[in-house]
Amino acid sequence: MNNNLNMGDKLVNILLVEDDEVDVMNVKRAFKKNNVTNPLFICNNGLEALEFLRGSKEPLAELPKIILLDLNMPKMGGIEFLREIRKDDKLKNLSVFVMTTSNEDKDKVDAYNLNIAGYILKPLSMERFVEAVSTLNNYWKLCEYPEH
Amino acid sequence: MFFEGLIRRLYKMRIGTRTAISFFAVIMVVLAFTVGALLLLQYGKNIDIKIAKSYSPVISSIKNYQDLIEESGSLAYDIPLEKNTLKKNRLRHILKRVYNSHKLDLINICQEPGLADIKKRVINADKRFEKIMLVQKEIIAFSDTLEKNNNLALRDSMLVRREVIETEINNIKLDLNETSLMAIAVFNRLTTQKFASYRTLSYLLLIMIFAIMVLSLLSVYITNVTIIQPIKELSGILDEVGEGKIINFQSHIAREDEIGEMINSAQKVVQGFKTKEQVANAIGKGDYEIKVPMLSRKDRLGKALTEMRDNLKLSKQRVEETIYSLESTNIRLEKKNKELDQFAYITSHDLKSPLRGINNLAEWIEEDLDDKMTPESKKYFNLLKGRVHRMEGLINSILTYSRAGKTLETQIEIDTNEMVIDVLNNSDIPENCSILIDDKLPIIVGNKRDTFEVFNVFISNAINHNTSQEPVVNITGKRKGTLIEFCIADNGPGIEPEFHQKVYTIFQTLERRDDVENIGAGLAIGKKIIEDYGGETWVQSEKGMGAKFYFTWPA
Repeated sequence: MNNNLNMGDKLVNILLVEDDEVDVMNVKRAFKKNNVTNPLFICNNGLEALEFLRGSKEPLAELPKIILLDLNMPKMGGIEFLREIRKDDKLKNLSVFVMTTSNEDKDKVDAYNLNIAGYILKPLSMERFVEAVSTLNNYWKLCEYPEH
Repeated sequence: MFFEGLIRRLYKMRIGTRTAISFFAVIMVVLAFTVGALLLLQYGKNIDIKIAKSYSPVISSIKNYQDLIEESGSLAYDIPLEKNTLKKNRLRHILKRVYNSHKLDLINICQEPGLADIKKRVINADKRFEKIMLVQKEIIAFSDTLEKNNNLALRDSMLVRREVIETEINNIKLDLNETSLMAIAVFNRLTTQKFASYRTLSYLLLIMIFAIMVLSLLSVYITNVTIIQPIKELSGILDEVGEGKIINFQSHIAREDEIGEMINSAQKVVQGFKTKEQVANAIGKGDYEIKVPMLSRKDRLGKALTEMRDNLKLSKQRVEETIYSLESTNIRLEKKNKELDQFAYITSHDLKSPLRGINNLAEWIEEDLDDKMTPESKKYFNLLKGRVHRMEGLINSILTYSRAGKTLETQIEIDTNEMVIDVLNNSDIPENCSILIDDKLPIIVGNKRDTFEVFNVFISNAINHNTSQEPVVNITGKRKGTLIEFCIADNGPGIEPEFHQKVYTIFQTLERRDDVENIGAGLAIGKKIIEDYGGETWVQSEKGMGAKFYFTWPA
C-alpha cells in the first residue's frame, strides 16, 4: 500500500515553514507515523522560505507543491509570506496550508483572502495531530497538480 | 362733565391735601352753622331780655300812672265839698312828688326803640294831665281861700272845674288803657319774633346735618374712587405678580398723588421682575454672557442673578473640564483595556506553543519508552498530560475572555427561542435532565455569536453543575420596562449568598478542579458580554434550593 503523496510516480515536495523545533519534530513524527515519505524541506521563517523558493542561495531542482505554514514567526510571519508569494508570478499558485495555534478570526480571514488551501489549528495532543496529518495526506492524494 | 373734571382735579391732588380740604370743609360747615346758631340764640336771648325788661314795668308803670291820675281826680273831686286838710295835703304831695317820680319812671321805661308809639301816647296823656294838674292846683288854692272867707261865686267856679277834670281824667284813663293794650300787642309781636328765630335755628340745624351727611357721602365716594379702587386694582395686579405671573400693566389715569406714586412703584417692581425674568430665561437657556441690569446698588435679586450666572458659568466650565478630563480618561481607559485584552491574548497565545511542545515531548518520551516505564511513571505521565490540558483550558479561557464583549458588526434581531434550541442542540444533555422553555421567549438585538455564548454559558452552567437525581432547567424571559429579563433556573445544589459575586469572577470555582474538571470562566465571559451590551446579571439562590441566574438585555 502506497500511502505516499505522489504525482503519478513522483512524490511532490513539501515545504514546512515553522520556527518551533518541537513543532518541526512533531510534523516529522506525524509524517513518519502516517508513512508519508514525501521530501520535506524546512525553513524557520518566511524570509528563509522565500529565499528557498526563489533559489537565491542554492538553485532549486523542483518547487514544492505544498507548503505547511505557521503564522507567528520571527523576521517574517506567515501572512506576510503569503502576500509575498501571491505577488510572485512563479509562486502564486502554490497550495498553502496554514498550521497554527492562532484561533483569531482576523488571521483566518486574512489567510483565506490570500487563497490558502486550508487552515488547521494545531491540536495539543500528538494523537489528534497524527489524525490531522493523515486526513491531509488523503486530501493531497486526491488532488491533481499542474505539471511544469 | 363737571364730575369728570372734578375727579381729574382730585387725582392730581395729594391725598393729604384732599383729606385736609375735606376736613376743612366739614370744619367750616360746622363752624358756620355753629356761629349762625349762636347768633340766633343771642338774638332770641336779647328779645327775651327786652321782653323781661319792658313788658311788665311798662304795664305796671302805666297802671301806676293811671292809679295816680285816678287818685288825684277823686281827691280833687272831694276837696270842694268839705273842709278836708288831710286830702288836700295828700293831693299836694301827689302833685309835687309822686307824679314826678311816676312820670320819670314811665318815660324812662318807654325809652326802648320798639316802644316809641307808646312813649308818644304816654307823653300826650301826660301833657293832658299836666293841664288837669293846673286845674287841681287852682282847686286847692280856691279851697284855701274859701276857708278864710266863704265866697259862693268861688264855690260855683270850683264845682264847674271839678266837673271838667272828672271828664278829662276819665278820657285820659281810657287813653292809657288803650296804650296798655298797645304795649301788650308790641310784646306779643316780639314773642312771635323770638319763636320765629328759634324755628329758623332748627331749620339751620337740619340743613347742617344734611350738609354733613352729603359731605360724608361725597368723601366716601371720593375715597372709593380715588383710593380704594386703585388700591384694589393694584393689589389684584400684585397678587398675580405674587403668584408668579409677571404681567405688564398701565394705569388708565395719570395720577400725581401717593396712589399714583404707588402705581408707579408697582410698575417699577413689575418692570424689574420682567427684566429679571428675561435675564433669568436667557441664563436658563445657557447665555452666561448676558449683562444683568441692576435696578440700584441695593438690587439683591440682580446681585443673586449675577451670582447665579457667574456660578453657572463656572460650573459649566468645570463640567466641560470634567467632561474633557473624563473623556480623556475614558479614551485612556479604553486604550488600557484594549492593551490588557491584547496583552492577555498575546500572552496566552505565546504560552500555548511551549505548552504544546511540553505535551508533544511528553508523548514522545512515553511512546519511545513505552513498555520500559513502570506503572507509577505512566501514572505521572498521565497526570502531567492532564495538567497540561488543564493549562491549555485556562489559556483558552483567557483568550476567550480577552476577546469576549460586544461584537460591533452584524447586530441582528434574534429569536431567543431558536437561539435556546440551537444552544441545547450543541450541548451534552444527560438523559434524565428535563429542560423547560417558555413558550414565547422575546426577540433581542445582538450579535449571534455573542448571544449564543451568553445562553450557552448559563444553560451549560445549569446542566453541568446540577447534582440532582432528576435535573430540571427552566428558561424564561420577559420584558421589564426598557430591558428584557431572562432567568435560567435549576434545581441544583444552589449557591450560598457569600459566593453570589464570586461565581462571576474568572477562574473562581466552587469545587476542586481535580474533582470536577471546570475552568471557571464561563460566567465571567457571559457577564463581560452582557455588561458590554448594557445589561446586568445576578444570582438568586440559597444552599440546597437550586439557583436562578438572571440576566438583562436591552430591548
